Amino acid sequence: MTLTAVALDRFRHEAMFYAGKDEFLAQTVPFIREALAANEPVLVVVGAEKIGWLRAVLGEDAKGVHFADMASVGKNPARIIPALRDFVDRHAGDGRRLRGIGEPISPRRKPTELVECQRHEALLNLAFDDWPGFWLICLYDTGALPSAVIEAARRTHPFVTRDGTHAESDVLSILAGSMPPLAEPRVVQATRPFALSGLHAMRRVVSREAARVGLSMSVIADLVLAVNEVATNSVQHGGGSGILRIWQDSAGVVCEVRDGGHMNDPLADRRRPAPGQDGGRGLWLANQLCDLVQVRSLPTGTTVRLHMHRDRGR
Amino acid sequence: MSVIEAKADRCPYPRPFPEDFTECPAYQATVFIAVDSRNKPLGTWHTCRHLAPGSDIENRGRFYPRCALGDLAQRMQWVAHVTPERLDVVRALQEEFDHFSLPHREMLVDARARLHQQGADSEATDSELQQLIDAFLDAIDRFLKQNEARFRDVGLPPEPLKRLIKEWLWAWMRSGELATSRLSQSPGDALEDSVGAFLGVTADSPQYPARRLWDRPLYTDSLLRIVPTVEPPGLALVGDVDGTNIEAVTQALWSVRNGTDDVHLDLSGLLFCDLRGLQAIVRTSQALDGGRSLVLHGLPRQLERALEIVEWAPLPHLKIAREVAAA
Repeated sequence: MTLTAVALDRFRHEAMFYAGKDEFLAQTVPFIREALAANEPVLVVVGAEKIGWLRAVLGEDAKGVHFADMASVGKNPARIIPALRDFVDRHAGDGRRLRGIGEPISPRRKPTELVECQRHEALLNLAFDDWPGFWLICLYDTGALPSAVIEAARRTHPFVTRDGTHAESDVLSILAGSMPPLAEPRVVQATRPFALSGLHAMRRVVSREAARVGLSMSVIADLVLAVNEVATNSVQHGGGSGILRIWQDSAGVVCEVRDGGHMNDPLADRRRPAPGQDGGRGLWLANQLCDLVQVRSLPTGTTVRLHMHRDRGR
Repeated sequence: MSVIEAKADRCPYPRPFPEDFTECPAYQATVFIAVDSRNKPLGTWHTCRHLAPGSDIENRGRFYPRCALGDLAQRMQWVAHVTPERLDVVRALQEEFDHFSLPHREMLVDARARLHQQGADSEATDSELQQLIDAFLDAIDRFLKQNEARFRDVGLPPEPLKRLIKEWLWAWMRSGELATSRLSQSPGDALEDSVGAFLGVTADSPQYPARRLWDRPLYTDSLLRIVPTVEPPGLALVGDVDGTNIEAVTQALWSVRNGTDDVHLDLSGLLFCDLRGLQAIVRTSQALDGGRSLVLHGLPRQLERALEIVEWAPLPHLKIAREVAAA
């Protein structure tokens, strides 16, 4: 296996398939050791248990690796790109190469989260387009994940590795704009059109419905703040008005804001705001406060769904 | 001609309240079912828990709709103290309680009516009542246990709550009145009264971080009042800051940037503030010259976190004062 023979003339976003612990280690450990040998900073974002496996095998070498728990970094998948971005910004320089390992998709992901993980994978190709020295491997457990998920991974990654063999993958077909449409809720608790003057009444509806789902006071306040920001975007940039819909799903409550506007930047919700910039923080804040934020922007209009889970595990 | 001054604690809103009334932030809907002498429902009215009959002594003792919380300033401070989210959680718990308890209540109403008809010597009905009450109390137990985290979240420990509901239930069973509207009140009202007791205690003595010149507002709309403060000098923002009043907020903040001392903002009455509002605060702090700071008093914890998330805290000229609220 000659990993280093692979050219790095562009951002290398690669899917790596494995089944079980042995294969996981057999594929990741050499990748990490090579990075360490070449003095390339390496970031590993996987579940806590797998971090334990790697630490055990790497021994002293583990000290040179940056580990992060996917459960905290990537619970909301929209937070993964900013975390990778921070790593790249901190360690790049002098043309230094960087490596990363991530496993955003585990079998425990809820269906809505899975969809957003796939969108995250597609957006990665755009997000690091300008970083030719960055080699990122995304792990997929073929023993635990449905075959449709593996197939989707083949389409979102320009490179695919199996049994140590690297290959260019098929054309990228899932790009940001061509995600499947969001599933319609079966029962909607509240539908409310709003304009600027209706933001207050809209906030009252969000708070009331969130309380009915059983969320705690501080989580309700966060949700109200996030929804208000997205709705304010509709008022300012989305044609002056929008429609709020609220419903429950098995995980908690979903607030959807729809308007007639169009966001040109598919990475708009995962760019860390610059300190001096005015505005442009609403979606960023929403992604940090909510468990999941789904953004779909087409020339015909924009839909943002904000999910808050009942069981937040933190 | 005599000018009759409106009482400050007069409820300024049109009544009866529409079902989705949201204009008054302190509004606490209670559904009132009027019944006739045969317990036939006459209709449903929405009223406010804080609405009480007031007697206007200067106006020949005429009754007027009085807000038990007081005037606008007191209403706003009450809401800021209990927070709108708490009110919504309590309301949701009430709804759920009313819903789950309905079959129990119906059976109890029925049994109680029979008891009062038959007189004192009906042991069968008496023990039946006892059973119904026990079953109801068991169900209440389960409900409280199931929702314990939510009750604790809003500051309602389940044990005293249970006692209150129990006492209310027994009082209701023993009372001889049959054909009054009280009969249609649910034990949810007991829950509500106890909530009132708990919330009322904490809200009675608002702690203002600054002395507010409430009668000289710089800006007033239906959501927000901006008033100057002295000791320390600055502004108090009371109510909601959002896209509808952001220009007024920006202007008001801008107007206090000059001077030689720190500028103080009393945010203890803030019910909501969006990111543009926070941005206006941040920009004001950055416009202060000569090493002066903008000091935020009573900043809700949630907004402090929001400032951190968007990396507006910590900033050199923005200070967050941590006053420990007097219990």
